[in-house]
Amino acid sequence: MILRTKLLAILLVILSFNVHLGASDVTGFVHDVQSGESIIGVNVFIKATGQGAATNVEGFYILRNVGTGPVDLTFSHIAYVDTTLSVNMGPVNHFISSVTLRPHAIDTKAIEVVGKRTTIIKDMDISSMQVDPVILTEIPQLNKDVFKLIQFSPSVTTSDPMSPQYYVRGSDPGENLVQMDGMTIYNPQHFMGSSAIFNPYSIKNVEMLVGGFDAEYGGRNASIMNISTREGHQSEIHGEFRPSISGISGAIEFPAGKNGTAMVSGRTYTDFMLRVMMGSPNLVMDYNAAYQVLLGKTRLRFSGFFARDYMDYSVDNLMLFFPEGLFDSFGEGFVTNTTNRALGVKFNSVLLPTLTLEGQVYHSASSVDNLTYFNYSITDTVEDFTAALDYKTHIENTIGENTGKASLAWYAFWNQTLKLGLEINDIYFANEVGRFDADPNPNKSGAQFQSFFVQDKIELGPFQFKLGLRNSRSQAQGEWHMEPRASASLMFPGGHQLKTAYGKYFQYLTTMDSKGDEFVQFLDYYQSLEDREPLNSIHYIVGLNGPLFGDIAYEVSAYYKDLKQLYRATYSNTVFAGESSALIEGGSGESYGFEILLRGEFGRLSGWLGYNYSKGFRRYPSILDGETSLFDADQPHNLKSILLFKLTPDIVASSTLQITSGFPRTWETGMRMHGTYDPLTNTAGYFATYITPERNNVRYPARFAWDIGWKKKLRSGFGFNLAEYLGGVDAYMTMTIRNLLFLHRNPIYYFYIPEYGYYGFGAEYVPSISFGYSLQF
Amino acid sequence: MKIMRTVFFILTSVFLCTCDLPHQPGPMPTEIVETEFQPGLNIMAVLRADDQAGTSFININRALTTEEIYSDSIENFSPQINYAKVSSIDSGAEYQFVRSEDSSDWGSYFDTTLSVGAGEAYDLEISAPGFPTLTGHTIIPDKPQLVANSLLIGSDKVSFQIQHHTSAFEYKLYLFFAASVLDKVVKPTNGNIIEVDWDFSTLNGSPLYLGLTALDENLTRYGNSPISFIPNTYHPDGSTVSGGYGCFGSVAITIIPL
Repeated sequence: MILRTKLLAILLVILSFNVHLGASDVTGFVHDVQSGESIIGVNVFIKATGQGAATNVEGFYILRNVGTGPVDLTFSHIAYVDTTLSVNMGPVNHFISSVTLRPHAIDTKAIEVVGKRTTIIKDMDISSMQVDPVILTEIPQLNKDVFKLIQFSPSVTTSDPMSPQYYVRGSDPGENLVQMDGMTIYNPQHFMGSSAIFNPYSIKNVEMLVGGFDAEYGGRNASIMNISTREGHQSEIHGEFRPSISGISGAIEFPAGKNGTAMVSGRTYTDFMLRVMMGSPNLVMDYNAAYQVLLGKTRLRFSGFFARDYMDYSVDNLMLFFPEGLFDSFGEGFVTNTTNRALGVKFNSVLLPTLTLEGQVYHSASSVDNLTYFNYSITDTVEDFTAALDYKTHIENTIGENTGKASLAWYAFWNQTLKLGLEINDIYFANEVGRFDADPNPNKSGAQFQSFFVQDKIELGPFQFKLGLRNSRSQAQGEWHMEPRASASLMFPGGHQLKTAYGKYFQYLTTMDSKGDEFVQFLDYYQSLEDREPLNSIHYIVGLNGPLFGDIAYEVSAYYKDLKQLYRATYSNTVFAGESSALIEGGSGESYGFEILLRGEFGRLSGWLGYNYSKGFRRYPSILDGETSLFDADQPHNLKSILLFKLTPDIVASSTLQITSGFPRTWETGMRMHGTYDPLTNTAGYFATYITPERNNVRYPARFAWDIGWKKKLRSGFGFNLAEYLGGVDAYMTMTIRNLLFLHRNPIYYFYIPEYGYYGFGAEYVPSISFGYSLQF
Repeated sequence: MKIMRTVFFILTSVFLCTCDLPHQPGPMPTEIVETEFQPGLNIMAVLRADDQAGTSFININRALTTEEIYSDSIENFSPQINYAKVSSIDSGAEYQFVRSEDSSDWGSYFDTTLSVGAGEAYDLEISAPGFPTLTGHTIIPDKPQLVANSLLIGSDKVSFQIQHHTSAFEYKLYLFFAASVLDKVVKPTNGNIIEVDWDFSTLNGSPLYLGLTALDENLTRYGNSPISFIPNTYHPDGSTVSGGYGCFGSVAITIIPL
């Protein structure tokens, strides 16, 4: 209570000083002259004084205390021609509705951006990373997938190469939030993590916060990923068309009425080999659309999103190719059916040159129906004995939310940025777990999460600090939880910056862990925490960054996370609990580590190289009587790099490399028969189950993944001619070699083979080469 | 271009030299905790309070090593034992369970004289050569009862209230028809009364009997512990005995004619 009182007192003092003293600030937006899109990361500065600022994701900037009289503002961005604007500043604040920049007319814009603008930009916020989507198109081995890209962040680890789930600094996957244009997107990956459900063409910017985030962010404790989509084109029709034998990907942006622009993109794929040869119908699709219009000083944006995955795979169909009767008593397969949808409207309004209002309402939902099965039987005709295994998992999980949120930003005196905001999420859950023969009858529940925040950022020369307070609650529980947030940075001569952050975070839902029951868990299954204490943690972070030499910069950060309240909900427990969350188990843990990142450009080479050391632990009463055990994704050493090499003006070669410690797993010591008693017949059925006296008692071998790729701008040949015939502007050929040198020796499971011992089975043993064309118009 | 040719040559050489790697098992895990197999008896023992003698049973086998699981034959899966006895805490009486001669009972032991009652406490002790002595303890739950006058039978639905007793940790309910049986699992809530509404519209005819079974803590805990054959993943054991594996639990039965 003492801490709460002090924080409130500090905030009230700050608020009481927030009277406008008539300082002459200049604010405004920066746009692309051709497309009309807002531009992120434009440096806006006054050459005479060196005073400057950068545009945010909305293309908005503010220069403080510019003074009065004529001022030359320079707008600079690596992909655009520098523009200077003369402004005659009066005694009041000045708002410039739009400054337009003209793109450089260079063929290799993308690689220049990657190299010079730097691929990861960290601002004052500690532990944030901003990724230019250009890098997704320049590195073909990333398959234009933002989730494959973030695996190369030092802060991110994965515990299963087949699963898209990722862990951030020792937290659980269910603690990661992914937003598209401010709307929460649940399960944002396609089937088995084959790719993100966002068409890369539609992505304008990706920002990922991995800790120490502002008070305006809440609802998840580990990371926030903000994906901004393109806004459309104000004067011409532009787009991309990517046909392939498995489907079509396309995007188009165009002007839409006065001051309006629109963008529509979509992808539909099916694997014909699986469909024809294996009799397994399958479909992967995603579509998103956006319409944006400028109404005076208010920008309105409508966003819609839909994605669907379906696959019905049965090994029985494969048996058609084997002699009849060979596998009569064997069955294995899965049926997965998922949909995602989101629809919303957002507005940004400049009420005064130094006062902006932002608001959004949206609906977002995800539905999952996932069935897996594995069965076989063996009959001993001599002993007249039959042993059979019939193993199934079935999960139906739906989560939906209707959300309204608003925030007010006031650029006040003393270089303060004061933000106030509120958010209400109406959430509904529907779960059906472990039912096979009866009609679904999902267990339904609802919750309302409420939160509001206040935050002040103050810049005092080389010293900046932020103080924030978020209050949140689940309405059913009633009790408000305070989430204090604080961060500070100090700039030293030479551009070196020391940063530190502290924050407390609360989360009101959790996800089910099915890793012990499904061979690969590739989806999050969301569950309500009902009347339990919210999942909560405290983060402490310190970091240092600055230039090293030339265009190379460094970043070093260390963190400690006190995971005070965690939850463990397993598939088995959920089944036994009769579809309710009665068996969600509370626990705790901690994680710590440090990260080193080198990034920038050296000659024709650009990219980054990162290393991190991390440790994570968990404690749950049902696991070894509450003893501390290793976190599932504990990988102490991680070395990761993404490098691009400009071979010629038209060819970019790239390398993606990950060398990481293996993840911990539980090595069974034997097997026993587990009896299930039936009071009706007074008999017991017996199932073989592994004996696991320790948890995570072995560590898999180090993981090694090295893929290389090329991207070539075509100036002749088939692809060029095809683009020319279709009226395209550019054509590119891409080639990828995955698992170079057979080095992906990354087992996912070890099975015991008689007279041999344990044998590691992985997902990718032999190299693969792929190439394709991309046509842009 | 000379550099590129050199790089290409080196990559090709290494590529060819490593071509045979995928045919080998690859690197083995680095061991963190030395965990040895603990041999022990593995049992499923249920004391049944149903007003009959000899219906309680103990099934005895043993835990297997990984090598044994995949071998052609498993020797001595149901090992010879010195004794398997159940002792009444209250009366001190001992009941020696003997192996059934019926081969279909597959390692099951019975005592034809034992008839247990609600609220009674029993200890289990099993000794077998070469294995640690296995012990367990259970308290027979109270026989499940309905709240007076709470039973209502409709054309396609039955509803009633169970008078919950703290000795029961889970109830398995059965609705008997002429040719079929419906079942349902209910868990105790915070109150003393458990409301049950049961729709049987999917079946033809009227129910003949209602079977109520109350499970003790051991049987409930063991029955709710996960079973999985997914390798390399941790599953809590769920055993309710010491010196071995498995469950020693009890159940109380009530049959109500409808």
